[in-house]
Amino acid sequence: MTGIRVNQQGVAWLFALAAIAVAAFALLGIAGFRTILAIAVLFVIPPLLILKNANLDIEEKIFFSLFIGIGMFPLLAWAVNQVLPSLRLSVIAAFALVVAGFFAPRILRKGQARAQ
Amino acid sequence: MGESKDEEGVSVNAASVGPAGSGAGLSSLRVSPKVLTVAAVAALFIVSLYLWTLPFRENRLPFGEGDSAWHFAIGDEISSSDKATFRLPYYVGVWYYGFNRILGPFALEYPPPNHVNYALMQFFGGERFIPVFIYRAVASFLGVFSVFFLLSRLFGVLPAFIAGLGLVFSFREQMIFLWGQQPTLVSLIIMPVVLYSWYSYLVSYYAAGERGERRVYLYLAFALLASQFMLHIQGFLASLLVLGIFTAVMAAKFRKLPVSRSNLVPFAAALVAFSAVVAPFAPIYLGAPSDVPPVSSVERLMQWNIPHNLVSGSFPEPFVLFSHEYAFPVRLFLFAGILLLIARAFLIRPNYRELMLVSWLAGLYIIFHLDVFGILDQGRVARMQVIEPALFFSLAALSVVWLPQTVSSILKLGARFVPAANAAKYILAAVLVLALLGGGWSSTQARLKGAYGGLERITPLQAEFAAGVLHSLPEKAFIYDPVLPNVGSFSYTTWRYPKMRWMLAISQRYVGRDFPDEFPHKIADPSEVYVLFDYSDLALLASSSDQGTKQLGLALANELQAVELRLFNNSIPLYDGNNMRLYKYPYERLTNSSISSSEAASA
Repeated sequence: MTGIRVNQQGVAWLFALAAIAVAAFALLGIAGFRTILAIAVLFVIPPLLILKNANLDIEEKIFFSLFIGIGMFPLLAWAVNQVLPSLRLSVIAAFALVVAGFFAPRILRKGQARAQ
Repeated sequence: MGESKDEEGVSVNAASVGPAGSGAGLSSLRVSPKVLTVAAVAALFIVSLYLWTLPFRENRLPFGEGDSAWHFAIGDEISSSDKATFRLPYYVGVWYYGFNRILGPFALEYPPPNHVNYALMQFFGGERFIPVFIYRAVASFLGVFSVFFLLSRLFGVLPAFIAGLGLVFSFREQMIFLWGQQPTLVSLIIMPVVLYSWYSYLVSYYAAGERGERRVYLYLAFALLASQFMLHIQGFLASLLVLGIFTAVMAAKFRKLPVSRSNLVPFAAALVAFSAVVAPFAPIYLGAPSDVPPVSSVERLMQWNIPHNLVSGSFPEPFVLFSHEYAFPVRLFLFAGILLLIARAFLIRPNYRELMLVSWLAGLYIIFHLDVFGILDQGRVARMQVIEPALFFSLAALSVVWLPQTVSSILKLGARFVPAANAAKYILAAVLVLALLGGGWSSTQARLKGAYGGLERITPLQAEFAAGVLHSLPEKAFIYDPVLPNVGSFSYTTWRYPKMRWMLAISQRYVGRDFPDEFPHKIADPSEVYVLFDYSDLALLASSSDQGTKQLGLALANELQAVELRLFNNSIPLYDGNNMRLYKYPYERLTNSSISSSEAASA
C-alpha cells in the first residue's frame, strides 16, 4: 500500500493478530476466525488510518483505534445506511469512505505534482 | 522523590507525558518492552478467548437472561432485514416500554452501534449465533486490555499484565457478560483508556514545559467519550464523573483552569464535534420513561459496596460480595496498593499518576452511592459495581511495584540494593500471579463452562420450533406463554423467562407472558393472537430418575395442562408435535375479555 511503511512493531502486532486468529479458529472454527478478523478490520483499521500521521506510537494508535472504532465505525455504517438501502453495502461504503479519506490527500498531492 | 515509569527502584525525576518511556524494568534480560507488550497482549487475549467462549463452544445455542435475548433480537433483525432503522420492530418494541416521549412509539432504546455490531458479526462471521457471542465475549473482556493499556503506558508491562490477568477472572464482569448486559459492560470498560488520554492531555497542558501541549490526546478523549456514549450512556457518565474529579484536582494543584486562551479553540472544536455526533441520539435517553428512584439511607455512605439485602431480588449475593471478587491474598495486595497510593499521592513529586488514580477511586465512591442522592436506583448502583475490579486489580498489581520502591526510598537504600529491590518486586509479582491463577482459573472455568447448562438454556427442539413454526406466523403475531404458579420453592416464571424470550428472538415474533385480555394495548392485530403450551422441558423433567425432579416435572405439566384445558378444551391446536402445542386464541374471546389471567392460570 502506497506510503505505509511497515515497521518492526507493526510486524509484531500483525503476528499477534495472526496468533489470536489461529487460536480463534482452533477454539471456534471458521466462524471464530472470521469474527476475530472482522473485529480487527472493522474496528481497528478505520480509526488507525485516521490516526496514521498522528504523533503517537503504534501501541497507542492500535488501542485508541480499537476503543474508538468499536463505537464509532458502526455509527458511520448506520449513518450511511440511512442513505443507502442495504446495511451490507453501507458497511463497505463506510469503510471505503475512510480509506478514500486516507488516500485522497496523497493522490491529490501527486496529481498536483504531476500537473506542475 | 520523583519516579519514572521505569520500575528499576532508582529514583529518576520525570513527568510522564506523551508516548511511553523506556518501558518495564527487564532491560537486564534484553527483552524489548515493546515486544513484551505485544506478547503480553496476545497471551492475555488468547487466555481470555479460551475461557470466555466456554459457554458456547460445546452448546452453540444462545444463552443469557432476557436482556441478552433483547439485544440479540435487535441486531438479528438489522441483519435479516439488511437495514438499520430508527424504529424497533413490533415484536421487540412491545417488550419494554415501547414509547419514547420525544421520538414516539417503538423508538430505539439505545443508540445503534451495539446492535449494528451484532449484525456486522453475523455478516462477516457467517453464522447467526456464534459470531455474535464471540463479539459479546470479546467486547466483555476488553476491560482486560483497557486496563493493560493504561497501566503499561504509565507504570510498565509487569503491573499491566497482572491487573489484566485479574480481570480475566473477574466474577462480576463474567456475570454481566453471561446475563447479556454486554452493552453496558463494553461502555464501562473503556474508562481506563479515556482516563489515559485525558491524563496525557492534562499533564501536557499543565506540566509539559518545552514539550508542549499534546492536543491529539484532547481530541482522542472526546472521541472515546463519544464511543462510550454510543455504546451505553452509563459508561460515558461514569467517565465524565471521574475525568471531572481529576480535572478539578489538577486545576487546584496548578491553580489554573483546564481551558484558557491557548486551548479554547481546540477545546471548543472538540466539544462541538462531540456534540454533533451524540446530540441526534440524546433523545433516546432523554425521552425514555423513568421513575424517580427511591433515596437510600445515609448509612449507605459508610458502606463501600451495596449490601445484598437491598438488591436480593435482582443479583445473587456473590455479585455484591467484596470477598467473592477478590480472594484473600489479592485483598492483601489491594489494601497495600490503596495505602501506598495515598502515601505516594502526598509524598512523591510529580504525583500526577497517583492523583489520577485517587480521582478514579473517589469517582467510584460517588458512583456507588448515587442511590443515597436519589440519582440511581439500588439495582443500577449494584450493576455499576462491575467497574470496581478495573481499579482494584490495578491497585493490587501496582502494590507489587510500589512496595519495594517505597521501602527503598524510605530506608534510603542506595544503588547497590537495586537488585534486591527488583528481586522483591518479581517475587511479589509471582505471589500475586499465583494467587490470581489459583483462585481464578478453576472457578472461572467451572462457572463459564457450566453456564446455562441443560434445560436452563433454550433446547435445540425449542430453537427449531421458534425458527420454524413461530417464525411462519404473521409478523405482528402475539404469542402468549402461560404463567404458572410456583411449585414449592421452584419458580417456573423465573426459570422459563429467558427461554421464552430466546424463542422470541429466534422466531422474530413476540412471545411474552402478558395475558392477551389484560394487555390489549400490546396486541397489534387481535386476529393474530396465539397461545403456546411447551411441555418439552417438563417431559424431560418428568422422565428424570431423580424423584424430586420427576415430581416437579409432573406437577408443572399438570399446571400447564389445566391452563390448556381451561382455555382450549376440545379445540384443535394449530400445531401439535414434540410436546408442544400452539393454539390460535379466539378473536371473540379476546374482544369479550371474559377470562381473567388468574382464572386462566389457576389449576
